[in-house]
Amino acid sequence: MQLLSALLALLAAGGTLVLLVARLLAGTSAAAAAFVDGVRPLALPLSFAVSGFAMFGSLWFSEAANYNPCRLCWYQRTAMYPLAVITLVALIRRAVVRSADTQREITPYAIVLAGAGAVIATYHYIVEWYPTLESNVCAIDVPCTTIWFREFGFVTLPFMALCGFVSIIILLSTTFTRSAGVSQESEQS
Amino acid sequence: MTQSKGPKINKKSSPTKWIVGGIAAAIVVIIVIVLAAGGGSDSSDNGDGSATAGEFMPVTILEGEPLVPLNDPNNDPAQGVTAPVVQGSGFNGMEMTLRPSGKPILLVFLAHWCPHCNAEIPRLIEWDESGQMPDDLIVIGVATGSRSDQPNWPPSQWLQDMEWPWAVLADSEAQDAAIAYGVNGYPGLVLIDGDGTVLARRSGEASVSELDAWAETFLGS
Repeated sequence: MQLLSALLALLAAGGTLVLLVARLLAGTSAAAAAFVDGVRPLALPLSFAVSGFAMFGSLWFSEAANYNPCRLCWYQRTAMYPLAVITLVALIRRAVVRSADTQREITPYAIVLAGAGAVIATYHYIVEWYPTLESNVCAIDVPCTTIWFREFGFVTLPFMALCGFVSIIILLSTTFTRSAGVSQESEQS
Repeated sequence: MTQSKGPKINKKSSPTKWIVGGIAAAIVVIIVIVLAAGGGSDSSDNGDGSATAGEFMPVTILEGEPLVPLNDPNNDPAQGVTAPVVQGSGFNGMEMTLRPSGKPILLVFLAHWCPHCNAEIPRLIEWDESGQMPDDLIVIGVATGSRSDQPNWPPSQWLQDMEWPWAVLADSEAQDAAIAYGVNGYPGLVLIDGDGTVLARRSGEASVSELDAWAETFLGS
């Protein structure tokens, strides 16, 4: 599970980086613009896939692997779990109502949640490398400096959470970028 | 038949299909890698399963009562209280009893996975080697909070690797020794005078100069 989740997190990070570059080049490159247009309808299902797997993974690590979550882990959970729920509900609504608006409706809430989670995950990841930032003492129960595993020498639980939050932000933010397809459709209607 | 509001969803364009295919292919590759790696390296065991015996040792209080947990080192109700006499043993099974011997004792509670303990051990050694540590101070490490699923397991090997020069008592899995001395964080230090009275307790990292000043305050060295 550690290797699987670490590789999926790296896949999310890589995909996010590609999407970010494509968005930056979309104004000058037709291929980049086409790529962003191609990702846009997938943003919601991919966001659900990322947040859903992150939620499942965190529950698996705490309940099956007995990696007790620390205080900062809980803060990240409070950001990630609602993301899984609201993206799922938006997906269901999109399937039922057949409207692309559901993605637009949840995007501000999802981005705020993911942004907060990304900030906490970043801080947690830094604390793992520089434990004295958080405290100069290890709590007897589960201190936030505890590193349950470090795949490839750098992929830890908060790193994976950070990848998830950032990918959701970048994916859902495509909602508000100009789409050639929608523009043409709007012009025709 | 009801009409839906909002823009209609475009049919998946060619780039979308390629992206879906690419993601699916990447996930397949990841699954293949994970399966080839034997399902990953989830660890709730010790790897080779060795070194479990002896990492935890039974600890009993022979005399006295457990100290109250340390909350505020500057207002510690355990100061001036007689420390409990605790019996346990080292990793090798050799029996040890923490009782007054006429010389001050510094108990150092250490957890192998704790980064602050890893940072503090070299400072304690430096304090000793600098000659600033009181000569008659008896230092005893207590390996506590040990967990086989955490880094630097087993603690016996960890302390050896860290070149810990003093005696070590292996705490029980229930951390009876740490509880007996009211330790609430690692590294935890308990300073006891030669008569068995608690002089001071503290938690967390401390520099050599802080350790020196702390010991001087309470031991007057």
